[in-house]
Amino acid sequence: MGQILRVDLSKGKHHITPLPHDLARNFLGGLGFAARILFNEVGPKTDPLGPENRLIVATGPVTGTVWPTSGRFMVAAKSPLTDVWGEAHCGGFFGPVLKYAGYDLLIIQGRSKKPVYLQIDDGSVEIRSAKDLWGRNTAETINMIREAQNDPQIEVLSIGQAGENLVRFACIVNNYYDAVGRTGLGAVMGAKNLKAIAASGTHGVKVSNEEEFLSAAAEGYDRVLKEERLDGLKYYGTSPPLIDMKRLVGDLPTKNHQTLVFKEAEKFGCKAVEKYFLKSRACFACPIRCKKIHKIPSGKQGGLIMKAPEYESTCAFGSNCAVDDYLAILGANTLCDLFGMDTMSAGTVIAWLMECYEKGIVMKKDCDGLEMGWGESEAIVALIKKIANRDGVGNLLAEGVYRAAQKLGRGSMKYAMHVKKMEMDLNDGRGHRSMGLTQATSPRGSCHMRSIVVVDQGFAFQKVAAERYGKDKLPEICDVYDEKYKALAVKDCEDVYAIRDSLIMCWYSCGWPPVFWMKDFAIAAATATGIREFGDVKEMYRIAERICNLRRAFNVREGLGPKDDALPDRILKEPIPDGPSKGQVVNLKVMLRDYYKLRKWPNGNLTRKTLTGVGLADVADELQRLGRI
Amino acid sequence: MEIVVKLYGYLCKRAGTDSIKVTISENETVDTLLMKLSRRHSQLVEEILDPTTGELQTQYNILLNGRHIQQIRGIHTKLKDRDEIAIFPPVAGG
Repeated sequence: MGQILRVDLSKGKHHITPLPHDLARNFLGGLGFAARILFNEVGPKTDPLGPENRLIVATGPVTGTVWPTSGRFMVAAKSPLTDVWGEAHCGGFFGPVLKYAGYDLLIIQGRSKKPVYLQIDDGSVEIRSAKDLWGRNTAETINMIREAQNDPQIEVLSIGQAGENLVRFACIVNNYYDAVGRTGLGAVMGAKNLKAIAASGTHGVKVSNEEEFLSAAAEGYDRVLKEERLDGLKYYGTSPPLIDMKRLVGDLPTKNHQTLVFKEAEKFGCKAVEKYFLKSRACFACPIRCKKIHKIPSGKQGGLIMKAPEYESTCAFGSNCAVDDYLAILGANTLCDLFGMDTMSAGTVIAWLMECYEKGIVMKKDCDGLEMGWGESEAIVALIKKIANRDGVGNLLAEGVYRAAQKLGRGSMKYAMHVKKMEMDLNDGRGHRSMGLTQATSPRGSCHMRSIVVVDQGFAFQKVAAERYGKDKLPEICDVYDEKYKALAVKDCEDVYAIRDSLIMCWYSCGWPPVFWMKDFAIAAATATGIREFGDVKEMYRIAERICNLRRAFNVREGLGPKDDALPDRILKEPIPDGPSKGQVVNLKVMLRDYYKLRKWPNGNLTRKTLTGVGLADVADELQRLGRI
Repeated sequence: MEIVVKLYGYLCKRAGTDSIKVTISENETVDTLLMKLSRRHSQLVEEILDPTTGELQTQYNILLNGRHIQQIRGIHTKLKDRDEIAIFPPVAGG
């Protein structure tokens, strides 16, 4: 069993405790641990930017092992963007190294009086001055820490200027371009005066049943390597193939979701970006190598090397701002990594300002003299800098689209594309129906990652859909424009991904395409931990339901309810004006009704019976005491 | 009458091109188009059709002007002049 490292920045102290067995048995790891601890320690009176908030960095039982795609870790806190449950996940190498240092979990509380960074070397934990690091971007911070210790292999989680300036969607960056992206967790670090967390570890990870674990992991590797549905990711990365597909089927958020058609997106597709390809990069223990490094061959920026943007970032700064210049997107994405801010939220809040400009709600003078028309890529670059430094109009945008629209007024909330105060990810239920339900019900606000259904995206996954949900659900379950059976798939994916995020494994091993599913997770969990009950798929689903209910309970305690399982009016009422999705709107009510029934939440409300049924009687007591159930 | 078949991902490499113009006749459907295509690009068509049933392999997506052919009449979907067919290998991303 592993250990928990708890650091109190107010007191300048730390202590190490063994991981409690019942926490491991009931919550598995990663996300599950974070949900339990955050519920226990962070209540409704906690200011997300106050010292009482916790920043939890969690690994899972397979982190640091040879299980393919297991190099991830997750971070959770009460979000300064949404004021409720905040979580974000990241690849790279930090998770395995934290585990090698001996820790399953790192919990940071309090606030340092002066800027500091945390240095973890196996059993040695030091809080060091970050005086020279404060004000630096993420890449400089990582380099300076590595250079100071003459160790290029130290893993560093760092915030940039955005986190220091409490930009509500600031992120945390690992290895220059892997981001703990969403819900503003970089601002939580900034509020604690914590510039970085550096770690090195020399211990290995010991699994319980080595022979069976290694055999299953080897078989898993084989499946990942042979899976031809991963070829696009291996060759092109996560963005170009999806851009090509979504462009053609009319599912590419454009001009702040005014439409889903952006013909110029061909310039970001496979054929167009192939010329920039320099090399691939992998996270720990991953044979997919989906990260692509681009080099600009010639011109003004010739020779520059940058990490290629993911789909979400390409769309956020591309079609959703009507920008057709791929190099501008590449630049915006890199700037966000350097300043340490979430590309999805940044792109969406800028698209909102562009629409406000189009509608005459703001003028050039309101935007610090910037020409804010659609496609103005120079304005985007200027705004990213302004947001990170909270300069001029950037100070408004740094609050996130919900608060910015509230402050601006003038009817601008109509164009604020958010769910539970978090900027919409670059997906739209009108072009992919289940996505609407996913975004509306995600506990961290608009998010495509916690329950995305892929079997309904096109008809290429009919066989998988039939195996999972029954042939009788075809063809409706695979139809992107049909609400029928979508709740069934969303609920199932949410449960499976809760286990994925607790183990922790990468999305690309089990979502799109579905190489691993619950049975594989059960084998990995049982053989890694030696907890026999994990080998039962039904037990995995029980744990998943416990985690999903606990995240919901965290938000309910904060005052959220069914009314917050919502989508912007545009998605519900404005039919797509053109392209293959022309005329589509989302009937969320129908999908929510089915989803609540499957979750056993009558009309969207948690009940004592449901909570007790998933082993959360104490949570029911707490919610009842507060009058929330 | 002529239509354009656009290929994506590794299918371009299989066919050695990303765009193929095909002359079609009245009442041409997707399956007869694929038969025509197989004369020039047999490897491509063998890849996307099930060799025993002749049906489209489930992991491939064929779009007609941006709509999945399964949402119309599958491989029996009729074609008309200047239609654009897009054939996708399995797509993943995010």
